Amino acid sequence: MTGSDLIAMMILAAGLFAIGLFGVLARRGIMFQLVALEVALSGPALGFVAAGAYHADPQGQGMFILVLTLAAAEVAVGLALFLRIRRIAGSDDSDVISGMKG
Amino acid sequence: MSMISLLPFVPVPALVGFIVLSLTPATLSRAVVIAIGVGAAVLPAILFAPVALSCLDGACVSGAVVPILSIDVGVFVAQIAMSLDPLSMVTGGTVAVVAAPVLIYSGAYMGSEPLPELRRYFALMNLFLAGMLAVVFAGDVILLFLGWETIGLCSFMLIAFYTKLPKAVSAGRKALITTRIADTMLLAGLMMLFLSAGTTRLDGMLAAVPSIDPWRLAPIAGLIALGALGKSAQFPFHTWLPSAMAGPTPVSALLHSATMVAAGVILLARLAPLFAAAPEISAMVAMLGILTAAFGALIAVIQPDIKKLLAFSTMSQIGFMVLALGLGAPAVALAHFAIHAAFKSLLFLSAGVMSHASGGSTAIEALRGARYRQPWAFWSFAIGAASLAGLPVITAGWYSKEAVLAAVWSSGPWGVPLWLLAAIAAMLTATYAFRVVFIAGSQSADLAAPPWGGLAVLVPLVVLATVAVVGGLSVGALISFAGGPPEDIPLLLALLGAAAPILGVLLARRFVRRPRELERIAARLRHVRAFRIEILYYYYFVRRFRHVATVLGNAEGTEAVAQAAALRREDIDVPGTVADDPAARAFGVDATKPDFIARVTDGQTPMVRLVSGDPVGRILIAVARVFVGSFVARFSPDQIDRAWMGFAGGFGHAWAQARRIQTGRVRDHSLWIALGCVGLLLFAWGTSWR
Repeated sequence: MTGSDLIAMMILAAGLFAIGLFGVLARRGIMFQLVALEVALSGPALGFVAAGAYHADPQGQGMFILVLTLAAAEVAVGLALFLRIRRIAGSDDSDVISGMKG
Repeated sequence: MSMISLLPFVPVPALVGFIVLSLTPATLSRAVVIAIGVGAAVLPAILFAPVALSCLDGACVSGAVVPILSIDVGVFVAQIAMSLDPLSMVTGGTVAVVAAPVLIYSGAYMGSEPLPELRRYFALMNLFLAGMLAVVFAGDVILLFLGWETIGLCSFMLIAFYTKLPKAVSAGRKALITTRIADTMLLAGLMMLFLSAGTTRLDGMLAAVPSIDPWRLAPIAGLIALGALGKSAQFPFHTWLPSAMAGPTPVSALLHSATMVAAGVILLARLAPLFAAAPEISAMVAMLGILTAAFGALIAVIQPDIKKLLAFSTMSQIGFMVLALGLGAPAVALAHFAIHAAFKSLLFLSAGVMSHASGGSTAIEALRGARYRQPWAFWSFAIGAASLAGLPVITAGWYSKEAVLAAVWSSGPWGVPLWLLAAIAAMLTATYAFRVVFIAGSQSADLAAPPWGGLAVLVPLVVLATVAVVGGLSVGALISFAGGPPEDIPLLLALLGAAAPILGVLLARRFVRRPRELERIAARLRHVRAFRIEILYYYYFVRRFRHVATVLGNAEGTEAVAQAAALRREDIDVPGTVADDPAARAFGVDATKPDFIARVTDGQTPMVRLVSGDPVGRILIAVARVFVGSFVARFSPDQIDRAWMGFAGGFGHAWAQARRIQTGRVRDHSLWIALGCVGLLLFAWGTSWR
């Protein structure tokens, strides 16, 4: 893996993260925000794998496993919250739950 | 030696009493307030006793100090210490011993005041006592000045104790402003002395005196002397003392005898070597002293009010002490101070009892018949008056005054004329003291006054009366203890000195028999120019202070003044700066003339109108007006204050705006988290840039 490949991979990772972040900020449906969060998490994960491959270091792939488990845990909690919110607020619009408004 | 270490704790009970009474939120009952207030004043006297005993054993020599703490500030070391010399023992003992009876008496005198007022009274009295003890024991200028300012503040608040009476408040203000002017000079003098000597300890400063240039020593000594004279109400600072009578009687008793006015005498005595090195300043001090002694006695003779009479008498007696100090006899001055403190507080306390029984009036005429209504109060007053007059042999006042007169006689070429003046003052002293005694001792139709008193009144009077008589035996010992040379008075001189009070008593008898003569003298004295110094004070200091206070005190200060001037132009009398002072009414008539000067100075103060007659005055006024219009006006209504208020109010608006950021939406939170992360990354990138 050459340096230019790494840069291309990093740009791709940054793009993935940006798409995910945009999704979280722009969408109002909680389900879609969770999906966008997954996309955003895949960006840094790709970055870890690419950097690991470039330095020939297995720690990059180890970090990818960590990110996967993190994402799984996050989705589990997120889906549970999603179900609760749908039951309480009767809607999957994240703007409805604004109890912290100042 | 261990008893000596008690010395720094002598003022502590009084300070604790103040803190407990004024700062603790607990509600205390009347009895508890009186108990704390009186106890906090009696404890210093009890604590002082072992110190004084071990001092008599020889523990205190001239210049001994008890260091308390020293603060290292780079090259300077600020040392706080208390002196343990004969001077601080004599003065401290006097203060502690006189204050205790006065506070016991005031427990009875003030007992019927409302509870919050009573609490305020005792809190202030305790702080007053603590400040005075700090002054007399101070071994360094820091403690001295702290105590000095404390008693100044307390005297203001105690003179203006009856805040509902405008007279009391203005009297308090007058005392504060007059002594503040003097205090400023004192502070300047002490700072210059510190810069020259390089230490804050008084003994170190006095040791450095010989090495200070004479041209530098003179202003230092002059400033300190003026500061001390201001506190001691000596000419030309004497005006505040007579009006200070507006306070409660026990306050006057304490203020006039051992505290406040005595502070100046104590300071002059403590810095005696400094004044010995500046003979021209000493001469000035002596001149002002004899002037005040004679002047005060003369005015006291014509006073119709007993409290006023006693005030002028204090002025006059302090003048004797200052005279002795100026002539280089501090030990004699101290002896007179101690004796004077005893008989003056006795006079005030018994006069308070007598006027209480005379329907609350303080006029001397109202005391007629007091001998039959309040026999023991009258006799204790008579004992005090005899001591004040200095009746030969039997009273303490004679011994101390004789010592002062002897010091005057042996002071050099000016001794004889000064002695004559002092003897005349002593004669007048007997006259005014016994005028009251004769009037109070005469028959009166009205004898049905309710007796008032009890043990709390009787005990202080008896204690002080005993001191005022027996104290005379201790005068010689006091003088030699305080380091004065033994005076051997020529017999002829002693006889002449003894004749003065007796002559005075005869004069008093004549004045009481023929009040017309006194009235004629009073009428003539009223036109003496020097008496008008009070009006000048008013113009130059009090009025200006009030004006500044008005402008700074409320945002519309200048508007209020201008509005008052506009109203005054329409002949409406407005309470305020101009119409309040007596001379303004006198000059106010001229303002109606529509000539040029009147137009230019319309709505101005009478002083401006007075000065605007001549061209130089007109130029000065024009310059002053330009200055005020262009520079001073920018600060009023107080812009600085407004800016601060706006700044403080701005926070409220800022918070009202800030809470809008908190929308409660998940997306907005995410945005802020993302932006925060970006900011942190940019920061990390920027700081790791090579």
